[in-house]
Amino acid sequence: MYKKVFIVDDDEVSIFLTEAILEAESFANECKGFLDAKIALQNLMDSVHGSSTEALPEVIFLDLNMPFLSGWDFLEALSPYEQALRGRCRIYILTSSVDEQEQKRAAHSKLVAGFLQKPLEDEWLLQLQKN
Amino acid sequence: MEPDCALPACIVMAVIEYDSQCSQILELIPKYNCLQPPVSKEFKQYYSREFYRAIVGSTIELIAVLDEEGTYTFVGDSVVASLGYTPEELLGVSALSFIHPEDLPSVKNALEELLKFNTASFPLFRFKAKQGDWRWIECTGRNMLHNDHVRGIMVTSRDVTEAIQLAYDKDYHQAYYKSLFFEHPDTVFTLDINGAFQQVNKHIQTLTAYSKSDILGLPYTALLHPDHVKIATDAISKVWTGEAHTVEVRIVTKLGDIKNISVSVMPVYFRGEVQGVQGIAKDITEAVQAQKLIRQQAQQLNSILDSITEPFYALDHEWRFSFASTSFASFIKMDRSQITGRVIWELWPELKSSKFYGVCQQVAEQQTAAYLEEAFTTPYPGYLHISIYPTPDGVAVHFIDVTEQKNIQREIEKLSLVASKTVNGVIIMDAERKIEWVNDGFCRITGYDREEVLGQIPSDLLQGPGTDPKVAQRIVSKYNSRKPFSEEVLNYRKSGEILWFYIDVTPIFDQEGNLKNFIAIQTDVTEKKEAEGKLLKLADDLYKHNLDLQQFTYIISHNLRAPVANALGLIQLVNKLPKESANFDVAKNKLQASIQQLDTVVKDINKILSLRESGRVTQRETVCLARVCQEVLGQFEDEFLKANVAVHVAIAPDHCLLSIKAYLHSILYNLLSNSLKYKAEDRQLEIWVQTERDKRGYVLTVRDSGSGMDMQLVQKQLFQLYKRFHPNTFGKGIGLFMVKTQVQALGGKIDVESTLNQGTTFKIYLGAKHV
Repeated sequence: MYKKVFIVDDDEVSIFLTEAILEAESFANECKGFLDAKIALQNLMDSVHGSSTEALPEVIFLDLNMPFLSGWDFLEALSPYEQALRGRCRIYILTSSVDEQEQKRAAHSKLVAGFLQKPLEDEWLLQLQKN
Repeated sequence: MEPDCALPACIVMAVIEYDSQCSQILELIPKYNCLQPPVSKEFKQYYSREFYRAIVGSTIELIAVLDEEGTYTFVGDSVVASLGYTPEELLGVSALSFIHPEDLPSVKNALEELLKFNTASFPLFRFKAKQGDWRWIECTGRNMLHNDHVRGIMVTSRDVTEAIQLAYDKDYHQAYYKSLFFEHPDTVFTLDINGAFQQVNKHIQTLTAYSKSDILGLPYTALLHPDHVKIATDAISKVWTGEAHTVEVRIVTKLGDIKNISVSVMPVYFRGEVQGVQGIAKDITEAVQAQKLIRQQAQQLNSILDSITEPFYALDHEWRFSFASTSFASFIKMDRSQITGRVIWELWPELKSSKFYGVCQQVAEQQTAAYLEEAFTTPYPGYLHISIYPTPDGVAVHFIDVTEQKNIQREIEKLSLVASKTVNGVIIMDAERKIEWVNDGFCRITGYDREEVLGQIPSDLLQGPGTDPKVAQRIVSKYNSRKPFSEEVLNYRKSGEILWFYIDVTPIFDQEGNLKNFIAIQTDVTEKKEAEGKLLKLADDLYKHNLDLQQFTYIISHNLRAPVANALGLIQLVNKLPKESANFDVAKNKLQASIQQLDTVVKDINKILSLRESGRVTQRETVCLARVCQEVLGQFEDEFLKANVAVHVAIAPDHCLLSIKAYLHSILYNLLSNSLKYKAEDRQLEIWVQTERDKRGYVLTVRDSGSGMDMQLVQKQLFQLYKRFHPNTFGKGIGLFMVKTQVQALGGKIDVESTLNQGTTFKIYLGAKHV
C-alpha cells in the first residue's frame, strides 16, 4: 500500500471516480486530487526543493487534457527534476483519450511510468500495487 | 695695133680666173677694166688675122661689135655656145631687140654714155636666147668708133644667169633663216663651240629677263637651275655628236623666277662640221603647272572614285569597262586588269537576260539616270541596288550590295508576322518603358487600340486597384535590374475586366551595351488563374476540413471519450459499492451528469458541423454593425448592471456590410460573455466596442479591462474547442472556437492581444478574405 498518491485531473467526476476506486482497492493511505495542475506542480516542486515538509507522492495519476496547463506541460515542467524523481515518484498517465499519437508520445517520455485509459481498471491497479 | 695686141692677153687672163673661181668673177670685172696690155718686148710680135679670129671665136665670152645704133656689125663665134645664135643670124640685127623690155631703158642709157665717154659698163640685163629663154648678161662696152680698124662699139658679154640665180638663192635663204631666227615666236639662240650665247632673238628678254647684251657671251649653264645643269649639259653634249632633240629643263631668270622650259637643240653644221648649237626654247611653266594640276586632279579623282566603298565602274559606248573601282574588283574577285577593256556582256553573258541589261540600254539611249534592285547569281548570289548614270563616254554604274538588308528585311517581315499573328500580346518598349509598338494580340486581349497606348508605360496602363502592390513593386525593380524576367500580374482590360497576365520581359541592348528596348510577351492566364483560385479555395476548404477532422478526432478522443470513460467507471463503481454507502449516491449522480455531458458534446458537435456548412450557403444580407452591437448589449443589460460594467461603444451608423447577422451576433455575444466571465475581481470591468474602416472592410474591436491571459501560454490553443484557461471559472471551452469558426465562415480573420491582469483585445477583420 502506497503512502501517498496524487490525482491530477481537471474533471471533478474523474477525480471522484479514481479516488473511489483507489479507496476500494486500498491502493494508498492518502489520495490527493488536484483540479488545477498548477497547484499539483507547485506541491511537487516544494517537496523536491525541500521547502515543504510534505513527502513526494509515490504515484501520480496525470490527466492530459487540461486547461491552462496540460498533462504534457506538466511533464515538461518536471523534466529538470527527472533525476530527483527517479525511483521516488512514478507518474502514470490516466486519460480518457484513445488517441494513439498520445500513447506514442508518452512512451518517449522518461518520466512516464505507464499509460492508462479511463476508467481505471481493477486489473491494472493490481499490477501497480506496491508488493 | 698696140691696143689690139693688148686685149687678147687680158681676155685669156680673165678666162683663166673665171674658171678657177667663178664666184668672184663679178669682183674681177672692174680690175679687168683697168688692165693694161702686158708690155713685153719678147711677146711684142704680130699675129695673123686668122689667129685673132680663132681666139675671139673660141672664148666663152661673147665678143661683138655694134654700130652706133646698136646693130651688130660683128659677132664672135662664141655666140653659138652661149646664146645659141649663129653670128650670121645676128649681123645686121639691132642688139636692143633682144633685150628684156624692163631692162631696155637702162641698157639704152649705158649705150648713150658709152658714146660720150668711150667706156661704160652696162647694168645686168636679160637677153633673149635662141631657145626663147631669158639669160642674164653682164656686159662691158668700149667705144671704138674712132678706131679705123674697128669703127664700132665693142661689147664683151658674159652669160651670168647661173651666178645671178645662185646669188638670189643665197639671199633668199638668208632672209628665210633670219626670219626663222629673229621672227620666231619662241626664244631662239645659238651657242658657240664653248657653249656661250652667240646670238639670241628678241624673246630672250621675255623668257629670261636678260637683255640681249646681258646674255651674249654668257655660258648657257649660267641660266640653269642647279638641279637641271646635268640634264642640260648631257643634252648639249648629245648635240655635239650631231643629234638634235628636245629636253625640258628648269631655269632661273635674272629676276630669280624659276621657269620650266622646253628646249629643242640642234647642231649647226658648217663645212661638214658642227660649229655651234642652235636652240629654240619655249616657256612651259604654265603647261607644266597645268599638267601637274591635271595629273593631281586625275589622281585625286581616281582616289575619290576608289575611296567610294560601294562598287563603281564605267562602261564606254561599246560596253567595255573603262574604269572599275577597287571595291568593284574585290566584289567580283578579279583583278582590274582582267576586266578593263572587256565587254561586260561578254564577260558575263548571263547578264544579258537580266533586268539590268535592259536598264543599261535604256540609260544609254535616253541619257537619263535609272535605278533598280535585282537579285543576281553572277558573279555570286546576292541582291543589289544599282544606280546607272549616263556619261559622255557611255554609262557609269554604281551599286550597293543589299543582300544582307534584304535578308534582314525578310527576317523582320517574318518576325513581325509572327509577332502580329501570335495569340500572345507583344509589346516593344523604349528604354524608358514607353510603348513603341504592340501587336494585334495585345489589342485583342486588352481591348486597347494601338494608337492610344503608344508612349504609355504598360504597368501604368494595365495595373489597377486589385494588382498586388508587392508584385507591382517587384516588376519595377526587375525592369531596373535590366535583366530578363517573368511575372504573373493582375491587370485590367480597357473595359475594366480583370485580366491575369504572365509577362516575359527581355531587355534589348545595342552593340555598345546601351539599353535600347524592352520586349514584353504577355500570356493571358486569367482562366488558369481562376482555376488556380478555385483550386486554392478547394485546398483551403480541404485544409479546413482536415483541421475539422483533426479537431473531431480530438473531440472524440477527449471530449466525447471523457464522459463515456467517466460513465463506464461510475457504472463499475456503482456495481461495486454497497447501496447504503455514501459514495453510491454520489456516484449515481455523477453518472447522470456524465451522461448529460455526453449529450452536450454530441449537441455541440452537431452545432459546429451545421454552422460550418451553413456559413457557406447562407444568403448574405446588409448588416449594420451598430445595430447588432445594440441588440447584443440589450441581452447583457441586467448582468452588466449587476456586475457594474462600463461599456463604451463607438460604431459609426454607416458601418454596414454584406454579412450574416446571426454570426455577427453570436461573435459579439461570445466575446462580451468572455469579458464578463473573466473579469478582474479587484476592479470594475470596462468594455470598449468600436469599429473602424480599413482598406478591405471593417475592423471590429472588443477590448476589456479584465483579468487577461498570459499570451505565451495560451496562444496556440486559445481558439481550440474545449480549451479553457481559467480552471476556476464556469465554461466548457467552446465559445472562442465558435467565434473563430464563425469569423472564418464570414471570410474574416480574428486576432487577440492580452496582458495578464490588464485585459484582452479581440480584433475581428471583416469584409474581405482574411485567411
